[in-house]
Amino acid sequence: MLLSVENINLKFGKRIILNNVSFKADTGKIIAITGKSGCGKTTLLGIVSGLLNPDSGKVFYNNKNILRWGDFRKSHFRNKEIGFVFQFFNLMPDMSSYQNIIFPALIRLFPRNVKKELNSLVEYLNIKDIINHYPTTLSGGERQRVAIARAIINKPKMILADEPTGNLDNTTAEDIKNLFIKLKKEENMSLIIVTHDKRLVEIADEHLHLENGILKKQSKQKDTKKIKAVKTVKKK
Amino acid sequence: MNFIIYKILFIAKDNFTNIIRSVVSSFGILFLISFFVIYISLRDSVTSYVKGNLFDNLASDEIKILPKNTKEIEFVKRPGSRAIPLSTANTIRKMPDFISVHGVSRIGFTLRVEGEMLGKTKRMYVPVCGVDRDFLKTRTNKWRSFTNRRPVPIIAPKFSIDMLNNYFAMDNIDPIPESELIGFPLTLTFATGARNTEERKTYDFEAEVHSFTDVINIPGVIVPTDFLKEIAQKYYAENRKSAGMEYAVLFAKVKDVDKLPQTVEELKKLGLNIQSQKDVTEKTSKAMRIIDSFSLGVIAIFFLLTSISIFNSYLTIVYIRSKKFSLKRILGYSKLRILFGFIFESACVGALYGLAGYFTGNMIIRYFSVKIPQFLPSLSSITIAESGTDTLFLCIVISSAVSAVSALIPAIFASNINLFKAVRR
Ligand SMILES: Nc1ncnc2c1ncn2[C@@H]1O[C@H](COP(=O)(O)OP(=O)(O)OP(=O)(O)O)[C@@H](O)[C@H]1O
Ligand SMILES: [Mg+2]
Repeated sequence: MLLSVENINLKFGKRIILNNVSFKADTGKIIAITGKSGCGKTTLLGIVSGLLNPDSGKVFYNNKNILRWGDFRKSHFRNKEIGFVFQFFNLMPDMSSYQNIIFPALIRLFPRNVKKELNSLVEYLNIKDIINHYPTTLSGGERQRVAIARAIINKPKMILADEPTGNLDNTTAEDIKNLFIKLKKEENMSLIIVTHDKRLVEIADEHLHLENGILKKQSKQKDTKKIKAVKTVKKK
Repeated sequence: MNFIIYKILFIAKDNFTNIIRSVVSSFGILFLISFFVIYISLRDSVTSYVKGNLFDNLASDEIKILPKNTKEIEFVKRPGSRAIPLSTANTIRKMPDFISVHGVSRIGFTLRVEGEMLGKTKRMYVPVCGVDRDFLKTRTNKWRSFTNRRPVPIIAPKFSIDMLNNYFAMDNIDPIPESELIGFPLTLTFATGARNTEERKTYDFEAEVHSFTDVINIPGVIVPTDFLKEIAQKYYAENRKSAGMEYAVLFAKVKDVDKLPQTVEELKKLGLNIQSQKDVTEKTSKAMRIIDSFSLGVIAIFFLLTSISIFNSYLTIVYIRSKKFSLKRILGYSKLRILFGFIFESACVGALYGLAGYFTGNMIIRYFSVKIPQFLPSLSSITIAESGTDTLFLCIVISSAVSAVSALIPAIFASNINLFKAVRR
C-alpha cells in the first residue's frame, strides 16, 4: 500500500474538522474526495502531504509514518513523491511556463537534468507553444496543464489535486480528466482528487465523502444517483 | 552539469530582484553606518591626539605644574599670559619631595630667525620657548643631543617644512625633504625693547635645525632652556634688568608617590594649578565618555529606527510574498531554506548599505576635517583621519548583521505561513 491514513483527528478550536479519518490509496488508483465547502478536504490534503500536523493519527507512506519526520525530510518527500494541482493553478507569476515547470526540479541541492522529461511532458500536455509565456497571458486550461507539468516533473508517485477542474470550462475539464486517466494508466500514479466535479468522481476507483468530520466510502452507484438528483433539483 | 549552472543563475536572479525591492526599505542603515564610521574615526583621532601629546602623557609619579587658573600649556608668551616666575620654579626645585623638575620656559625677548638659501636671505619673527633637555631626553631618544651648544640646536614644528618649501618655490627652488633640512644653518637674533630706542638690545647666535616635530603644539621654535638662561644672565649682567624668564609649565617627578597628595597641597598653597596622571586621564576619559555616550546614543536611535523600519518593511514583504513562500513550501522548500533565503537577502542588502555607509561617512569626514579647524580653532591640532579597510570590513559585517537580525522575525513568519490558507486564492 502506497498511502495509508489512520485515525486522523483534528480540531480547530472547538470545531472538530476531522474525526477519526482513515483511508488508503494504492498506486495506479484514483481516489475522489467530496464534501461540502469548509468541511476539511483541503486540510486533509495538507495532512497527507506533511504540511499540517493533526492532533492525533498516523500517515503511512510506503509503511513509514511521515508525521514523525522532521521538516527537512517532509520537504524532500513533498518535492520528490508528491505532485500538487490546485483549483487556482498557483503558478509563480514572475516566472515563465518553462521556469514554473522545472522549479521543483531546481529545488534539490544537485538538480537532475530534466530536459528529457520536460520535452516529453511538453508533447504529452501539448504546451509547446506556450512554454516561454508567462502565466498571466495563458488561459485557464493552459495554466492548469502547466501546473500539471510542474506537478509531475519530478515523477512523483502520488498526485494531490484540490478541485483541479473547479475553474475550468467543460471541454478543458474533460481534457484534464483524460490526462488524469493517462497518468493513472501509463505512469501508474496514485491520484487523490478533492472535487465537486462528477466526471472526476466517475473515473475514481474509490469515492470518499467527508461530512461532519467523518470520512465515508460511497458506493459508485449511489453517487451517480445523488449527482443526478442534485442536477434535477438545480434545474427546477 | 549546465543544469546546475542554470539553477545557480535562476536562484541568483530570483534573489537579485528581491534584493532590489528590499533596498529602498533599508535606506536607514546608510545613516547608521556612516555615523558609525564618523564616530570610529573621531574616537581614533582623539585617542591618538591624547596619546601623541607629549605634555599630556604623564607617568604615575609625575605631576604637571601650571600657573594659577591655567589649564593648558601656553608655549607662547602673549599679553596677559600667566606664568610661573623663576623664583617659584626655584622654590619648587629646592623642595625635597622631587627627584627632578623640568619645564617649558619663555623669555621676554622677540626672536628673529634668518636663513640663507642660494644667496637669498629670509627673515622671520617667530615665537620661541625653551625646553629642558633632560625633560625631552626621558621622553624620546631623538632629542638626547638637544643641549646648549653652538650652533644652537632648534626644534621646529613639522608644518614649517611646508612653509619653507613654499618660500623656496617662490624663488624657483625645488622642495627640500625633511632629512636634508636637518643641520640647516640659521641665525637667531634675540631683541628686547622697541626698535630705535635706548632699550633696544640685540643678541645674535649661530644656530642649526636639530629636528622637526608634530608632538609639540607650538607655532614657533624650541631651543634648550639653558640657552635662554644664558641670554637672560648676559642681559642681566649688562643691564641689571630681568630678561623676563619664566616657566609656562613644570613637570616634576616625585620621590614617594604615597606623599603625592601632601605635595600637591603644598604646591597649591603657592598658587599653582596641579595636574597628576589621574587628573589627565580623568580629563581625557571624561572627553571620551562624552563622545562615547553621545555617539552611542545617536547610534542606538539610528539602530532602533532602522531596525523598526526594516522589520516593518520585511513584514510587508512577507505579506505580499506569502503566496510565493507557501507555494515554495508545498513544492518542497524546507522552513530553514525559506528562513535562510530571507535572511541572506536582507544581509546582502545590509552589506550593500555597509559599503555605501562607509563611503558616505568618509566623505563627510573628508569634508569636515577641512572645515572643523575653521569653526573650532582649538581642535585644529586634531587630525581626523578617514577610516581604513578594517573599518570597512566592520561596517559591512555590522550592517549585514543589523539587517539580518531585523529581518529574522519576519523571516520566521515567512517560513511558518499557513500554507493552505495562503494558496487557496
Ligand atoms: N489554520 C486554521 N485555523 C482555523 N481554522 C481553519 C484553519 N484552516 C482551515 N480552517 C477551517 O477549517 C475548515 C476546513 O477548511 P478546508 O479548507 O479544509 O475546507 P474545504 O473542505 O477545503 O473547503 P472548500 O471546498 O471551500 O475548499 C474551514 O471552516 C476553515 O475555515
Ligand atoms: Mg478547499
